[in-house]
Amino acid sequence: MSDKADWRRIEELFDAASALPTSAQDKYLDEHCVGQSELAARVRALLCASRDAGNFLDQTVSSAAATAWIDRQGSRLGAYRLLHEIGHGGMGRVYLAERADEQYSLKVAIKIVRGDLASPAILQRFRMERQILANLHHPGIARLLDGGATDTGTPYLVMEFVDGISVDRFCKERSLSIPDTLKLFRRICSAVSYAHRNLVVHRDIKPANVLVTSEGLPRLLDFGIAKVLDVNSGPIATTRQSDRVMTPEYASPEQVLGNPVAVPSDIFMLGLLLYELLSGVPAIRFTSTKPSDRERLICETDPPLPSIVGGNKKLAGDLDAIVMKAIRKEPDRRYASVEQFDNDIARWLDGLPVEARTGAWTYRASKLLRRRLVPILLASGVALIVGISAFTSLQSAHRANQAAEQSRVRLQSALAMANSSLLDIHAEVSELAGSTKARGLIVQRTLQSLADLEKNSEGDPQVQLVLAVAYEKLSDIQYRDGSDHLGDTQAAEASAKRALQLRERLQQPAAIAADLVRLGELYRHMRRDADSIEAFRSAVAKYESFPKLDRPARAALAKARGKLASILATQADVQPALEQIQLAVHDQRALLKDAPHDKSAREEIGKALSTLGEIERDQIKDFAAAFQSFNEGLAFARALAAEDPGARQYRTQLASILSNLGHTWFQRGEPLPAIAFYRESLGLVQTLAASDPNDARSNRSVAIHSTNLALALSRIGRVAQAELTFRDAIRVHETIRGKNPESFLPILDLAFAHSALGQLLLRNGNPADGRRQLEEAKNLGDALVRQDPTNSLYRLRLANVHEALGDARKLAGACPDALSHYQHAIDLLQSPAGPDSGFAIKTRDLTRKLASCKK
Amino acid sequence: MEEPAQPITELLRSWRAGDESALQALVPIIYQQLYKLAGYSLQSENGRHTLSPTALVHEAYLRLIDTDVPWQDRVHLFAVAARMMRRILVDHARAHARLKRGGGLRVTLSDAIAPQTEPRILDLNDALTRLAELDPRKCEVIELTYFGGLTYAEIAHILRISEATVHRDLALAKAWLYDDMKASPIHE
Repeated sequence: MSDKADWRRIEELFDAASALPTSAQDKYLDEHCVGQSELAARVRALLCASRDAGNFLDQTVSSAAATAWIDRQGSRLGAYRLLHEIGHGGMGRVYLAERADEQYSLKVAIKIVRGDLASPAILQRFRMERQILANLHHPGIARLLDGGATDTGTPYLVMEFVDGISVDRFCKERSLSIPDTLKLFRRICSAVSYAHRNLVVHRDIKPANVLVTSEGLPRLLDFGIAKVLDVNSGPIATTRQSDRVMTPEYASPEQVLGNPVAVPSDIFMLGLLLYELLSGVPAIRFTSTKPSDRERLICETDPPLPSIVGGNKKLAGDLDAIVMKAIRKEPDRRYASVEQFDNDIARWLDGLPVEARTGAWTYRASKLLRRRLVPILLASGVALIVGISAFTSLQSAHRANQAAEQSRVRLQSALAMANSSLLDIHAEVSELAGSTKARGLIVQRTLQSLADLEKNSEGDPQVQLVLAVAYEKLSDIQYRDGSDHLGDTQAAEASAKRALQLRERLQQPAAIAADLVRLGELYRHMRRDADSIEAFRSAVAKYESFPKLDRPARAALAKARGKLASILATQADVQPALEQIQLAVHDQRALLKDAPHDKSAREEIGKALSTLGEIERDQIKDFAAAFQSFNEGLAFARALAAEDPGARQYRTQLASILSNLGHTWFQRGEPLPAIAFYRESLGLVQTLAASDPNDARSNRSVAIHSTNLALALSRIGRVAQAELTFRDAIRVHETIRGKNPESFLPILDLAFAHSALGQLLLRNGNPADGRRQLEEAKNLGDALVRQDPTNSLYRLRLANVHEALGDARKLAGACPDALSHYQHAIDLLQSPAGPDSGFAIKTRDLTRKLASCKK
Repeated sequence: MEEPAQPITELLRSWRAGDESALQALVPIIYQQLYKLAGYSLQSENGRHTLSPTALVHEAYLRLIDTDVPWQDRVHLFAVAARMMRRILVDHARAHARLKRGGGLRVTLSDAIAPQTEPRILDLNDALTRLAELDPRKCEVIELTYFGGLTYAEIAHILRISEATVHRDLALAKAWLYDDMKASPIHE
């Protein structure tokens, strides 16, 4: 039939009918095509085609483009020759390829990551993951053989080529019995289980990713790769063709919600797979194209039992229960491990009762209760409605009734407390000196209220938000960086972690990232470097995972990078730190470009440049670059301090950069310019400290800068001035120490200052005083090392003092004394953790000194 | 596309009037558009880390320049570019098919993998030609969307129809094409 004659009519009918729900379409066509059955049939066919078409056009064209590209490439990719495309998915295209240079042809599958998914961050992750994935050796897992990047930097993976068909087709074509299907499935479980033991999560288990060879051996593809790309979590609703959830039909609720995805998600997907293999039908089938409908389907609607939908009564009962347990919406309600899942299947095969059945009634009961309890508590004491027949649930309902009234009262008071800015009051209270006890009490009570609130909130998101904010404030109060009042680091950590958990449940990515940064800073202060790095990395990764970064997020990401760089700089490998800080500076520049007058942007770029300078100076030893970075940062800092003289933080930052420049000159061996910078910096912090005696940071800065200045002065021979300045510094340190008796920092600083002064006096004709200063330094060092023998910083400080003492004794001609001091120093530098490169050099020097004494 | 319609139209006019330098100015704009054309899978959102579709783009660009077609306005330019990309992809697919038929590539694959992803660009090409006879505007909408990579708003602007019409055209055209291709034999 030619469409031409009736084209306008067809168009009208099609347009109108498409707007109606499927069920109403037939009726519409019947009504409007009276006596024109062929026309109606034609439109029906088109409507049908419209439903089935999917994105076939997109795929056809992009597939053709890919083919064309391969041809132009000459089909070469690294050491391989691409033959042709064998598939494509959300992540990229897969090609059959062979090694181009070998006699025999080994077939491999090469997956090229989609252009718009590749980025520097992903490349980095690819490198890390490749090692882990390449070490997965299991017959049920297609091995990752190799990987690389094209000359434009797009990553590709070379994998074992699996000659097989998808598992659902395999089961259908071979008409496998239930026991045989289950045995095949258990082989798949064994592979997934192996991977989980090696801490690799698949994240994209679906029939297309499980190929079965003709011998019936299942092999999993694309293991862990989804994790690398981190694309498999996010809402279905996107505006782009490139959906963030790769295969929505097989997504787990937590993936769709953007929650953390781990082992339970794999179990969910395995459950969906089993569902499909047993019933012949996928568990999730979308009828609507609206993303919100689909999300609701995944997160709220339970699929029908496999026995019903597949029409196979043999599945009813225990097997139904096993499958449904694996695909529960709440991750913690599923099987806890693949092993458990597998064991239940084994039990079924042996005719034994399965675990999946036993929990059923209590689960349903408590679920119902939880849904009812919150509105009741928050409204006011309406009687609980219990509609469940199981005996156990009646009992819990009875118990809940009694507790309800008590909880309601406490809940309301807890909510009131949290809302009453208790914590804000606390913040003000904490500024007052000497009210440590009061602060402690308030924190205690706040924690109790929060615990109450949590217990009775039953997961109400509004309450959770209040809790999250409260825990965050609390964490900040419990341990504020820069001063260590209360010193309750572990409690602060606990609060921060609790807040993070709550934020994760609330699915607030920006807040999650901020909490991770908070933890990173906390860990750094607790000197748990590894944890700090991990937290900052997670924060950066979190920001990077945002689909769109608005300005605040970009700023937060850049800041987080700066902090990450700063802590990475303390590690042995310099490259990561440099990478991060360069990225941070780059990001800050971009932010500044968008808003050149934004003070915050100018402040942050100054800080980033300062960190960059430090890394360049201390780790890379590139002084020229360091000067450049510091000078650029200095320009920003000066401008801000000048524009806004009242703002303390600008002057603090200015002082910091000036001091850094001073260090740089000093390390370059130029004490004179160093002195100029130190003086200016010192002047600034003295003013700051004078105007606010509680500004502990500024006070410490005064002492530190004085010490640095004194060192520089001594280097140019201004002995008297240096001595005076040292003593100034010591006085300030003592004052700080008095205010913070439990803190180690002032002791460490004092040890350094006394030691430096001692050496100055020794070298300038006052050995007795010099020795006294060194002894003082030694006592302080001893105290530190006794308190924490593993701390390498303390040991280094004490070792330096012993070295200085050794020098002093040698000068006085007392060689045996000198010997014992040098030996002490060497002993201290023996790191229990292993040889430390910095220490190795120092140890060599000391050994030489030791040797020269023995003569 | 961010750039306003005016400059391109003016440049085109100047070029038609014989101003070669206008072509120079057009070049980056054309390039950008052609990069977009080289398929979603080969292109990144913000220009980073593209698999180099340079070869395709060069080819398209050369053909464009060679063309003696008068550039009426922006519409014409991008419609032509889209059509050009269609022709290139079809040519490649034909050459590729010839190679496979001629025994250049020996494959021992289970057919489970092959049919779903067999490039059907040649069938699509034929179907589009047939659609164009029926309703030229629908064919253009398809071309501009899938070969041109333009957004609905851009297409609406270019074809001087409403966005709603673009959506409707696409829906019907897509259904028609799918239906048509289902019936025709698969090109080998």
